[in-house]
Amino acid sequence: MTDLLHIKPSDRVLEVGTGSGYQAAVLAELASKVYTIEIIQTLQKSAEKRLKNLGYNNIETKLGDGYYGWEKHAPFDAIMVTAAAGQIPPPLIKQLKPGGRMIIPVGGAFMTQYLILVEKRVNGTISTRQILPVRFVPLTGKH
Amino acid sequence: MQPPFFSIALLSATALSYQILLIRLFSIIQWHHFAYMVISLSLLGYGASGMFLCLARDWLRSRFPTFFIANGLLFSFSSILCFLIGQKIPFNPLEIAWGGHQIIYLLILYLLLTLPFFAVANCIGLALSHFTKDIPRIYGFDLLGAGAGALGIIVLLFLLNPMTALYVIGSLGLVATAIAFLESRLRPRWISALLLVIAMVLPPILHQQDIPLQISPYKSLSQTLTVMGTEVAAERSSPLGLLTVVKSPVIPFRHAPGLSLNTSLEPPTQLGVFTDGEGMSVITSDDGQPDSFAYTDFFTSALPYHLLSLPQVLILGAGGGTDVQQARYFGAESIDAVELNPQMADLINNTYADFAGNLYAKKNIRVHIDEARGYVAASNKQYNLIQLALLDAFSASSAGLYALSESYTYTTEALIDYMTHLRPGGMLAVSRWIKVPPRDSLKLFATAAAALDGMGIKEPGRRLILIRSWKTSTLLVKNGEFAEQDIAVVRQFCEDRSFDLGYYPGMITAEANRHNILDRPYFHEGATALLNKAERESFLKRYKFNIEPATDDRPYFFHFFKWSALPELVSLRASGGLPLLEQGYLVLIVTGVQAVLASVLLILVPLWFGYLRKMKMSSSSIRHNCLWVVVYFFSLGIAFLFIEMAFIQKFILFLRHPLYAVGVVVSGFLLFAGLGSSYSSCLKENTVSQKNALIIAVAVIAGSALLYLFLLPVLFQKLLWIPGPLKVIVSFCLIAPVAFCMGIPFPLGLSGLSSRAPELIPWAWGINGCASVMSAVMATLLATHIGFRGVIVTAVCLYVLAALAYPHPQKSCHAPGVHYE
Repeated sequence: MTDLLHIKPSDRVLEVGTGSGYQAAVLAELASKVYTIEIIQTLQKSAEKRLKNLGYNNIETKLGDGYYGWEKHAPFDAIMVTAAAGQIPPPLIKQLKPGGRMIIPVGGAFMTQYLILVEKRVNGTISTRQILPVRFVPLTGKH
Repeated sequence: MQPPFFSIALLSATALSYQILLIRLFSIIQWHHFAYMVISLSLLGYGASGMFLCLARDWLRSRFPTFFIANGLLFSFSSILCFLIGQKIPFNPLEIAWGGHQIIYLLILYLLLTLPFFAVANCIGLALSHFTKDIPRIYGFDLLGAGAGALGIIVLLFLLNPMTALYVIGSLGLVATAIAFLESRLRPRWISALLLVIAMVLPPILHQQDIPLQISPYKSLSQTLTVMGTEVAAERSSPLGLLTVVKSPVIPFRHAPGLSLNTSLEPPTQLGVFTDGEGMSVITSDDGQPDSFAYTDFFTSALPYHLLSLPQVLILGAGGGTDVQQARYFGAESIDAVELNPQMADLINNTYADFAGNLYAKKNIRVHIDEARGYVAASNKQYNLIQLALLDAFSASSAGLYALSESYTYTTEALIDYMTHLRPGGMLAVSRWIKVPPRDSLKLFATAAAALDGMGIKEPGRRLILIRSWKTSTLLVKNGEFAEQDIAVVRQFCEDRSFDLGYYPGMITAEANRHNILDRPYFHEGATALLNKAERESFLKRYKFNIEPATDDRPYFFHFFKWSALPELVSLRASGGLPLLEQGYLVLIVTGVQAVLASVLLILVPLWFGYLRKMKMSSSSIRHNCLWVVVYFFSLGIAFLFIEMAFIQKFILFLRHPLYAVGVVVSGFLLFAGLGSSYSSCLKENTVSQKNALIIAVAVIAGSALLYLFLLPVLFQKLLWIPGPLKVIVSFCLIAPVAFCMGIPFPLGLSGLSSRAPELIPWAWGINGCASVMSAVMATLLATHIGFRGVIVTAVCLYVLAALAYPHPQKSCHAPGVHYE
């Protein structure tokens, strides 16, 4: 998933679904700035602390519904969603820079989901590419 | 001593009600294909009971009343307890492909639910072998009771929720036991009074415990309820399904299938409505603002509204009303919305009328509670647009869980029906989920092309358009040819929404696969090949999934599996190949294998080693009778259920719902077979008249079954408009002759056996049960490959084989003395 985003050192990346913070740390090694959103408070707090302790100063975390992205820091060069959604959230597409890429698993939780690569062309039009079947926890759940 | 006829009838009624109720319960907690497992396992109980009675025949002979009462009680309590325990088993059909332990869970579930049927079968089987002179009457009461039970449960499910119905069935078992107590003149009589009291108090006490149905955590409803803030707002139950309304105030549903990625519009607040915990539809709030439903313009299903002006619209499968709202948004002149489940319509009409902006009270909207196909066949109205809604859930659909759900909505004959109700220039629009590699969309395209061929259209390709978004596809079939200006509109519509063109007349491959990019332009290549008569057959043959048009004879639209693709799918298991395997089909295969193994283990092996070996095999009568007993009773076991299951399928279309078809067909078959069985008691044992009756019965079965192959489709087409009660009467009239004759061979065989080798009666009962177990699964598997016509023809051949195997009276020996070691 990281590879499919073609991240450059100057990129600003949004991650939806912080979890333990591991993926945010991976992205932070490649990009200049990482913004990561988590909906579960305990996870968000612990990941924030962990990433700070590890010295990741280029990661900013937030508690919230990832569906709406992070308008304040938009647009992003790349967006990675690490939880499955039933839809591709329009606000995330809006917050993607022209030429930017988003990777997102789409489908029901614990059912067949597809990893989809969304690309916003320079002229603003959107294209998608189904990558492979995957299995993620839901985007908005108690998990 | 008289056999307990009325108790037998009531026990049979409750057992059959229990069988149908289990189908309902399993549809809620698991998926539809468990129906097949349930039918099989109930018959396995009957087969295993035959073995048990065989082995314990001597011991049981002097203990008939006690044994009968004990088994009546066992059924009463196990019918409730076994299901409640079964719910606790963490069986997950989705995991069968990779989790070996799931097979063990399935086996445990299978054996657990067999117990109640085993108990009932013990009662009936023992009565048959104890009162050999009354075999036809006992069998007759058994069948009549079962027939009444099949109808009774449907009434019960309209009145009670499925769990309460379960408690009532357990209590009816107690009532039957109390009646047996009285019929057998046992003492003390207060015991029967006590049983009746328990039967009366048990359902309310259990109902108060409020034991929940434990729906699979992998069903959409369970998954949705894990989302923060969600809660169940309302529940409605009927034989047509359990509707669960869920509200999610914290995280909105935002249900907008395949919404274009070019829009930032969002749906208004929605309530999720789940049918049997799956297939989420939504009720969308309508605040009266004209743009509230502007987002529906960014669905692929909006395309026909850009091609038609103020159309008269028919929506098949209105569900929560999204398609109706879409039609309103585009200013449809009139909207006829067809919904199968009256409780669904009631939610929008009454419970959530304000929330939905009194949608169904609008003057240009009419709601019809009916089955889609039946409504169309009965209607004389012509429409500009017929929309077939996307009601099945994407997740379950993509996992192949509907693989063996018959659907008469997407068959060639169905599409012809829809198209004949289109005005000149009118369109049929069918939306489906996108799967990669393509399955539904191409199968639908193939079905539409076949339908147009069937209507005598010379160039079907000039009437078809296929587009797709990242998640849905929409097929348009026009009553007339698409003009250049139509195509220009379609291209612009797709360009504005980043939708892809799959097919339009004159399209070139370079135009395909531009926005939602696949490895190859599968949709365009497939559509083009399917329209090319020279290439079609070879394309269908080499395509890795079954996309041959669905027909009324093989109505498995969602069955895409090809055995030839299995090695490749298995080899791809480490790289995501397993989801391409259809899980519904897999479960059926596993159920079939289990049924055969369990039959052999529980029925044949113990009988052979434990019983027949005890007999002196030198006894010529045993040797002479073994072969025909096996052939005769095995053939009857397979054939009876083949015909019954094929008829259920044929009548689904006529009676407009699978559950009604099961109720009416099963009860019809059992009632009339019961009468046939009673009639056979008039025939003298071991005489030429028995053989003649058998030949005549088989001739009538063969003649009427084969005649119906051609007659039923035509007759049903003509009679689809008649009201429901009249349909039930017509169904019974059609079933009567064939079912009456199907009731004759079994008791006639047992009766003949009672005079030749009575010791073999329980064995024959076991063989018949064993065959019935296999036939339930075999019928479905056969139907997916050779169609229901093939199933009926096979059944007829088996009846003929049984008649040929039946020994001629003059050649038979008189009842011999059988010696035991």
